[in-house]
Amino acid sequence: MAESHGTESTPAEARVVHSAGQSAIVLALAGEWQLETAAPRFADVLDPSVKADAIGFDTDNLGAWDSSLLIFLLQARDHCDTAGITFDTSGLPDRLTRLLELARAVPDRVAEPDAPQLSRVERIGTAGLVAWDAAMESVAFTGAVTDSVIRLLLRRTRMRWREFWVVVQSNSSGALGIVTLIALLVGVIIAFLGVVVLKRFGAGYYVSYLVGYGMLREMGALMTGIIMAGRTGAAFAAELGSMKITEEIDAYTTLGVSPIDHLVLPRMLGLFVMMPLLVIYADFVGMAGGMMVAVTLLDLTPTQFISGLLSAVTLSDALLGVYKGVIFGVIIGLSGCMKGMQTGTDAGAVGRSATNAVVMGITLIILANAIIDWLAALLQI
Amino acid sequence: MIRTALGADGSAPVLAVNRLTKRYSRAAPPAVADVELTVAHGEIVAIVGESGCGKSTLLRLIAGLENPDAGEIRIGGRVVSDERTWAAPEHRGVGMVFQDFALFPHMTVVGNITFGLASLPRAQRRARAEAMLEMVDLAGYGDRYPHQLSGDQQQRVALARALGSEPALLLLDEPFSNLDTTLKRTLREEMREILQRTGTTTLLVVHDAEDVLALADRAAVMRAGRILQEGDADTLYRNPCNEYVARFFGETNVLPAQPCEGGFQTSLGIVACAGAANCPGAVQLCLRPEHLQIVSGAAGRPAVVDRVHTVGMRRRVVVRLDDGSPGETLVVHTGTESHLVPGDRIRILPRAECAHVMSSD
Repeated sequence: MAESHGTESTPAEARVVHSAGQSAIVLALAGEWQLETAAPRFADVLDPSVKADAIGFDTDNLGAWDSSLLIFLLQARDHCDTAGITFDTSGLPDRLTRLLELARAVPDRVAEPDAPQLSRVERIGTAGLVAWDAAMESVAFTGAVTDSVIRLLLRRTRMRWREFWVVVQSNSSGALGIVTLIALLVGVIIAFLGVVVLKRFGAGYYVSYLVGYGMLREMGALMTGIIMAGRTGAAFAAELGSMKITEEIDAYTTLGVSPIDHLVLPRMLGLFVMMPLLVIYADFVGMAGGMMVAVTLLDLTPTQFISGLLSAVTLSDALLGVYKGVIFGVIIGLSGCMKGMQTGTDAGAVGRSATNAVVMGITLIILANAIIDWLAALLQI
Repeated sequence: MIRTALGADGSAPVLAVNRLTKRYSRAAPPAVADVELTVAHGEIVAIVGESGCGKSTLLRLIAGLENPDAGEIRIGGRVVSDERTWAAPEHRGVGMVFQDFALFPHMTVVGNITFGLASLPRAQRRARAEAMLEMVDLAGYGDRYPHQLSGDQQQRVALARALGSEPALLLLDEPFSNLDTTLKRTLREEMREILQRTGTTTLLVVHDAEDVLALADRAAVMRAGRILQEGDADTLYRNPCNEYVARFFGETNVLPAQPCEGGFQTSLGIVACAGAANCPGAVQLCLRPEHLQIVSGAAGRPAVVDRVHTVGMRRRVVVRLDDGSPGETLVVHTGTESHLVPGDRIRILPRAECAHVMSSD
């Protein structure tokens, strides 16, 4: 935006010219105003003590100019605005006046009014309402799934068996690897713990008791539940969440097919069937791991370990673990599918749903485990 | 003014929405506020507005995918939603085409279409699906999967699926937003042809005024959850109720105006206009670019040409009024025979009886 009036290259200059007998100051702008060379600053040119009613400009000797001149003029105008002096643009070239207008034409930023500061009572109340809504949604969703299961049992609805078998497959052959690894290591850990503690009392033989009770009653089901919550619960939430975002779920609804029957039910049932089987598998793998440690570190033969284990644990111990597995399966299925169906519409929603499903699943599993243990202690199972 | 819609034969409208309101949260303003809308039998009505104006929410409320907070929805004369009743989506007799088509990825094209035909006997479903495919010009594509189809083909399948059950009302959510411009143009024409041939009553949501002109019989402009104005494309273009509607349906010059003797006092001088006499205070005048002319002689206001573009058969000239210091810019359309260049000094004059008065809010 250079405007050249001459070929001579003189440095940028701004000079105060007093018109005698008038209170207006005229600034004579001359020379080449280029950003790469030093340009005068308004504060240096004008002595602030000089009193004036107006500032005008004389540009007769102005050479080429660019934004540096504009900056100078804006400084001048700011000064005029604060000091209440008239800023007279009549002496400026037309293009410069328009640029000045443009520079000033930034729309006033509308300040967002601050959200009113909530009192502590209001904050607690709001949080309570949100929690209440979430609880109600969970109840409603659980109810809808129950309703769907009942209709399935009464043969009033048709489930998508293909989806069911997909879930069964992904939770059997697909999950065996990780379940084997974790269950084996947990069995090993329990046995190590037993070796360290029981050897002190010369009761190393009872490691088999600890491994048997530990795996069958607690760790088999708990570890399988946690693995499945991270694996399958998150997958349910992500699958249903992306269907929600592409409005596939709405499409089912408008075509008269309940998404609960069609999408949630096969997933829930698949997990419901597979969880107890996985728990049984994890129990055996874990006890085998414990046996490896006991045989290696203690003077025990595998036969001694197994007979010690069998003399201690009963079928009801094993069934308690399997029963827990069923409950955990329902919890994982419900939390995964619910978070999936509640997915919002923004870009990060699916990821958030998957994370929430895992957090909710694991929390509820551990809570349920504690409650079941407490009941078992009361009932002396 | 909105409840006009008895059909040509005096029958009840297919869709009647009465004072419908929906809030997503207690604090936020409602997404849909007091909306009234009717669609007569066989009519194609568009709801237009910017994204976030509540138009998709309105469609989802009508489909039954959201619960309204207040108001009434009637489809085919039957109340499907009010304070006491709430009919499930599948009992409303609506078909819906979603923005991302929402085809079921694990089913073939025929599978997708027959999925919504559970009411038909099994033997007839396949034949019906084939007939629907033929209608949308996709015969022979029945055994493909959605991911093997292009965007417009997927859209056609979605349309076939929605029309398969012969719904009383077809809802289209942004049907063209995922298509490129050329595909959009052909599909729009085809869709209009299909909808008219089948006599399908249609409510669609679009954000582009061009779609309205090409597809819909009538449109409702929505902003911030409210319907600002309703009418056919011509009415909305010629008699917009305010500046927002005016600008939505094409370029326009909006001039603040004061009623005075013989018309309105504006920066273009006194503009003669019907309705000036009973105008209480300041209003705005809508002058489309073709309502201004460049004149010679002493009439009109002096102006300077700022920019000139050639748009098809006419020139779009941006001029700056030559009176005040900032200089108001206006857009004028002229024929291609004029040879204006930026910097030319001209005079402009509004054509007689073209200006339209709008409220100035």
